[in-house]
Amino acid sequence: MDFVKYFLIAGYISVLLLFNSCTPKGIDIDVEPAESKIVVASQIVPQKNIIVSLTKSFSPLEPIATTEQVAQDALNKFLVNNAFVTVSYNGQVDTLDMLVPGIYISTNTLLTNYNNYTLNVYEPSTGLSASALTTMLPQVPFDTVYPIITRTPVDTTVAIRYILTDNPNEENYYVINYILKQSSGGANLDISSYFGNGSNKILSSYELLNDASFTNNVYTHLSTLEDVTPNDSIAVEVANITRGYYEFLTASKRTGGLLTQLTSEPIHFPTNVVNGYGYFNAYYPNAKVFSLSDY
Amino acid sequence: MKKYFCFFYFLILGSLQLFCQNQYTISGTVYDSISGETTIGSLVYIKGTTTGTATNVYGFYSLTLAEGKYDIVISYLGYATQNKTIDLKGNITLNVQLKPAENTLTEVVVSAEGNREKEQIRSAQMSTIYIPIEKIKNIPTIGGETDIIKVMQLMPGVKRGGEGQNNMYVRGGSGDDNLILLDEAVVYNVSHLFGFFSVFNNDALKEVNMFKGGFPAQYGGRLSSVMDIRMKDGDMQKFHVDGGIGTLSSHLTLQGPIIKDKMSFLISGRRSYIDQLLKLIYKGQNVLPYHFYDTNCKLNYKLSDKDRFYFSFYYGDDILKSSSSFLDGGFQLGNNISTMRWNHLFNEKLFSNLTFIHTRFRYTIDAQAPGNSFSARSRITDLGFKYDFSYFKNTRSTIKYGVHFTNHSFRPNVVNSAGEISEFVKSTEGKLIATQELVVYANHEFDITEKTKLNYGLRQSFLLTQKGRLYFNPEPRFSVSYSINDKQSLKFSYSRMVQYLHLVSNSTITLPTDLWYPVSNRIEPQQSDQLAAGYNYLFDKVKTMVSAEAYYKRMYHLIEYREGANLILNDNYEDELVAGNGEAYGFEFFVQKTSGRFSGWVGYTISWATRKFDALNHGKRYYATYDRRHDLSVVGSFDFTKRFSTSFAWVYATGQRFTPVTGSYVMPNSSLTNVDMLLIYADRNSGILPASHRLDISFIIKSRLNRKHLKWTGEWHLGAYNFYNRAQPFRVDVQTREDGSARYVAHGLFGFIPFVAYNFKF
Repeated sequence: MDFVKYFLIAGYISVLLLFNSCTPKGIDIDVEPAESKIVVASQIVPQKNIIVSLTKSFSPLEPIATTEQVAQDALNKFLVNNAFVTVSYNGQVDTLDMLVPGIYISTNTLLTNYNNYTLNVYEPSTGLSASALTTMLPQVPFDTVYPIITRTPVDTTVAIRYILTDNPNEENYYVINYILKQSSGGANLDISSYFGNGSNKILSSYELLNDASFTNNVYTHLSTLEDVTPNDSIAVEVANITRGYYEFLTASKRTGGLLTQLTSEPIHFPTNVVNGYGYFNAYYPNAKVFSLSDY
Repeated sequence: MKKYFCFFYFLILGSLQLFCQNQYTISGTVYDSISGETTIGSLVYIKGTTTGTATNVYGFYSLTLAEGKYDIVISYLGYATQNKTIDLKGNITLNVQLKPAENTLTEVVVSAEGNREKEQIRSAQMSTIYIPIEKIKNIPTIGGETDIIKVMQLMPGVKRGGEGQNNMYVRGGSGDDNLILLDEAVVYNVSHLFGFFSVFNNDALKEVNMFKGGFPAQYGGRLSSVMDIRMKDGDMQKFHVDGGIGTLSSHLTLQGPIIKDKMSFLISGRRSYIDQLLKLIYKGQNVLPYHFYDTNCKLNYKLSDKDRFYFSFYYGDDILKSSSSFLDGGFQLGNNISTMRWNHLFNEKLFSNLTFIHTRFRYTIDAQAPGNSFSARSRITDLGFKYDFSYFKNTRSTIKYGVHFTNHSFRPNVVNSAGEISEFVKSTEGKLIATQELVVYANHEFDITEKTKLNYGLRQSFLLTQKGRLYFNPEPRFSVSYSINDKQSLKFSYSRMVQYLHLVSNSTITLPTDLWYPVSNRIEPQQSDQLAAGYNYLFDKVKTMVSAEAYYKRMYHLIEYREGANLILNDNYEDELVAGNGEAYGFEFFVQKTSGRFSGWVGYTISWATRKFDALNHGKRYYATYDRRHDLSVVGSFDFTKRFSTSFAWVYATGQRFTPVTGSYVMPNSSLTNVDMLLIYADRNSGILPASHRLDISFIIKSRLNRKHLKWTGEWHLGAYNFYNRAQPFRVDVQTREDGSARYVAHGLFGFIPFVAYNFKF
């Protein structure tokens, strides 16, 4: 019987080896990569400056960064560099200055609530151009916002409680951002240092509200934050955003990270950028900053 | 209401034709003389005429004729034809026992087959697929595992899913549009091993019929196809054993009489054993602790000449059970199906069948790791009955009617999580959802003239949702055939189908988390209207049937998933569903030769299938995932000698569609503190995978051992799947060349896979 057993096992291993050795070669397939387009993101920052992030989309067939030089080349290809960027409104055209490659700012644009602003971008080195139109919405404040800290010998839990009142006469959409700077990161949280947080360890999350979220025009919420320590800083922002950007953020939130996108149904993210991706916005967040060690 | 009165008026009118002469009825059951099994679709007709009938799924026939002398011919595929001379002066019961082909002369058998094909020419029924189980056994498949669903995928109009998968996409429908019945009960999960093997153990099966259009009124509940599978009843005469040892699994079937000619049983089991073999190889380690098994049982009791009782049972599972220091858990999923049926003959013209049905599909997933635990459970349970009647008015008119009731109970996504994992997977109680479905139907098969046959009916379905909304949908059915002569005919049919359940699955591979859900107050029933026209020609001398069919199908309230939907363990699935419409049309060509040393078929389909959803693809019409323009299958079997034969299947299919990722971009989040990587997709299903083609072959060597007390028949099956090792494109990834440039490459799952199997019978 042993002979039969070993014969069967040997036969089975042979079959498995044969199966493994016969994995057929893949077949090349023609899929037209999406052409590179300009990606826009923007908002109003303190001192009422309009800041615009401009990058470029890239194809999955872009070379993989195997060396430092290739990585730098890829980064240069990805950031919009020395572009001609303007914002026009009420017959006036303001030119935005490049702070660093990919970041453009206007310090002199007159920002008026409910005014329309048109962004035009042209990058001479690639010939890429894009445009977008948005409406500036008024800044909205929290009625009240404060942290609730519960300290126990083994743990500290932090929750943010806030109340927000909606204007019932118009259709409104809101984003609530939680920005946590963990104390292990070094300096205090500087919410105006948007892309320059350096070694700061920043965790962020957001909530989205629409008119249906409010009861008698009031929204009261208690949000418990994860991974918070007693010496961290927290900023809580509220901004009145357009319906289009609300839908963009909703789609983005639903698909979550890249891994979730890969296991989800395909999605086409909404955009207001003509010949581009992303969202051009002129929302002005209202932020409250809390240093938890003060509580 | 007026149209319903009109319908029933014509139904009754058709059935009330009066004949001047005295009419008497010959009725009975046709059996296999060796096993005592009833035969389905045996022909009983008057010699030299086209007047006759066929046995129903319980082997019963009824033939009403004017008083007189008749030569009655009884024939069945693979059996010797019998002739009986009847002097009809009163009602007669004529039970017939047919001898299988191997015990008789080939010429007689061929003649019988010819008659079945001629019946196909004459019948109003169209868009059907019938392949004898014996033929299915010889068609090569992965691992040598006989698989009826994979054989159906070789038929025109039926497209397969991904490589090796058991999904079927029939005439532009979706994967969940197919009703699969096992002895009248719905089978919700038809696959083992994530869709690679079907749950049907061929040893236990007696007959498989598939309808793609022109649906009889007794069938419904899915938009695109019905596969009616019947289990063997069990040998009434003597005990015998069938079995087989294969590369992946083994199977054994026992059957025999409990009381000879009165009561029989059948027990059949199958189990995969790759886990046990790897355990032997790796000295007791659980390298791949996965296996599946099936159990089929049947009890068949002939209470009297007028009453017969059947109990059918199926139980099968896929089990993965892993145990290690860092992870303990696995999953279990499977069907539990049981039916009790009572056949009763009220008189020689009125046959009834009452069926009580219980069917359940459930899965459980469990995982325990230090500090974390997770479990998910879901189930769907149907409890119901069917009461079906067949009234054989006369040789020109048969009325079928009945009532079906089902209580569907769903308990999806009961999730318990503890530890850090609970931050990602929340515990949910799962909602208990119950819906009730009621169907009444009537169908009239009527010969208008000798050349023109009409089959029309109405199925009225009702469904009450959990929240009290009542859906009711009339489903008219109609088919007609015109025989130009005894070799060729034209056919036309129209069917409306309504579907009250849908499968929530966002994957191209079958996952245990895929679940059936009912319609609700918001999600409306899916509906289809299908027109089909066909032409059949029988080359009598070479016993070859040629058929060509064209179809056009509109589908309404189809369900798709919202862009970006993630449905895995998602309890709010309704929010992720969107509704739209679909359209499909195509042409199918089929040449089939079922007898002689060489048998087989060629099937070709050219088809189009599109969808239009306001919420998808910017509202633009797009091609369905399995819109594959061309499908071709060539299947053949050749008997070199009585002991040695070969069979092959060559398939070609245009690549399936997919939505390619054509780019990506980074987008700062709303607080400008971080960025998200977002993917850019091309238009929905705008990508096409390369065409796939492959050849599967097998060689069959039969052996016999005749001893005094043992008649052993053995069959060696040696063969290979994907003989010339061509990738069957299934997924796409990006590969980097040595120079750093990249390309898209499509990969398959399996290459050349040899198999060996041994089947025996004694």
